[in-house]
Amino acid sequence: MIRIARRAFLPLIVPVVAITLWWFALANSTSIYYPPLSTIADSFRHLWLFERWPSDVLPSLGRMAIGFLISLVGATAAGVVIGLTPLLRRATEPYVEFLRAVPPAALLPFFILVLGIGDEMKIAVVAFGTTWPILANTILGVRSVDATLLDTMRSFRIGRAQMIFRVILPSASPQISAGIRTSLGLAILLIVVSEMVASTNGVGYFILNAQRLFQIPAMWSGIILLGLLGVTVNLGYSLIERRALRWYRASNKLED
Amino acid sequence: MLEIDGVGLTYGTGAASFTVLKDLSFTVGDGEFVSVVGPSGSGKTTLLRCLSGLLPVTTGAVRLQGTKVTGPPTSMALVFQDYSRSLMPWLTVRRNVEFPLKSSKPRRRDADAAVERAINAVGLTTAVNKYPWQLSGGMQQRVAIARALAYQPSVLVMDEPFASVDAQTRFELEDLLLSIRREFQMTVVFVTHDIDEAVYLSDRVVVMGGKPTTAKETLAIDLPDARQQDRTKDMPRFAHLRTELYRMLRESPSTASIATPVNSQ
Repeated sequence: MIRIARRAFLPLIVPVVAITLWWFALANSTSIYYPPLSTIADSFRHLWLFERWPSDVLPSLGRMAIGFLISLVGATAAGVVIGLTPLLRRATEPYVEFLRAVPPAALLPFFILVLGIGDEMKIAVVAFGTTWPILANTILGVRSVDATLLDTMRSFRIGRAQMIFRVILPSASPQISAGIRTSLGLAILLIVVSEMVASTNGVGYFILNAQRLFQIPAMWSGIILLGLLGVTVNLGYSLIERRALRWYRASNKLED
Repeated sequence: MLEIDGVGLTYGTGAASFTVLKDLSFTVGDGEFVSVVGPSGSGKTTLLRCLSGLLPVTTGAVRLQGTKVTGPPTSMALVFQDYSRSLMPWLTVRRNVEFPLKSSKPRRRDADAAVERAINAVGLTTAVNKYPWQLSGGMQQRVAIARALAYQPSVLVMDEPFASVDAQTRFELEDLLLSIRREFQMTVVFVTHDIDEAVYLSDRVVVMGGKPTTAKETLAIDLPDARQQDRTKDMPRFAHLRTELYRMLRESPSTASIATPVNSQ
């Protein structure tokens, strides 16, 4: 019990200390750039609990989710096909690495040019940017499925669909999951950047707009909201991964 | 009857080609237990992949009940040495055992009964809801054996299945194999590099050797059918056969890795 309490408590020390310091250090601040934390907290409560969810938070989350789902399905499917076809793999691998290395935000001007500044553009930016980590990891995962397992399954005449969905994909899931983790972080980054560059709503737009209007507490509250959203997404995914890949950690004797 | 008829296997072509097996022939009768022994690296696993239809032969043919094997036959099941790699760690014991039955075509009827019988036969009844990584090595290999049994093969092909478990477990599994072989009336092709194991289990032992590898000799094991670890291995005839097999192996080239038989058990 004490150990569990300590493990849960330990990560909380740093933020509690930091927030306390912030709170008292700027309590009487009159600087327009560094407003007191209490002012920011007020602004956060007014804006984000939950008045601006329909106008800004939900549109941001919606675009991000759609873009991410497109890339998840597309990149996993493409990764399986490429991973299973040696010829295709050799032909495409250098380009996957190249596209993965291009900062996705650099393509924003191009996406705005062809898709405009609507939802399609933002979804496309997220989908494009999050594709590469998932694709590269899926290819890797599919390639490293154990040859003995494949031989065994072939000897039992397992059909093609069963082989892909019930042998290869589960086998590759630890690697695919690592790609998903990277891509989730990218998705938040990209949706915010794309909303800052060209948008009429969304959290990214809100933050930039608040800055332009010198509503500095509102700007800070938006930044804090993004931080909290990021942590929530990460934590949520960790919980899913923990459950789904329990077998992987256990069979490789990895620490919990 | 399983016929391995003049099987040859060559990787690559031209100057860079490498011949692993050459003109390798032997037959395994229905219900017979035949071990294939040979030094490490002599192509035992390659032969096994050929006769199970996983690897196309370059020359010759493998025939099962007179039909040429061109892909994995429905009446054959494999057990590999490395249970940790051939089982699926994300499935429970029961799901592992029933997976081939429920996923291969054509779908089998009475799958549940076959799964139940296989699990009982290898003594895994209390472990059905566990995961492979919760079990010892010997128990995991039992799962792999149960999976093969549930598939209801007429030929069971095993590639050094007991090489990764401790001696005590190995003896248990050897006796388990003999009993399920009788119960399920299967033909068994058993690849091993262990001389004692080959003599103890088999009706006949095929000795491989040479470069490229071919079937050098065959040794009939004329021990009584009911084998027992202590009694059978104490027989003068057992000692004689084991020495005979050792001599056959030593006479074939590239024997560096053949273990010398030790007379005390």
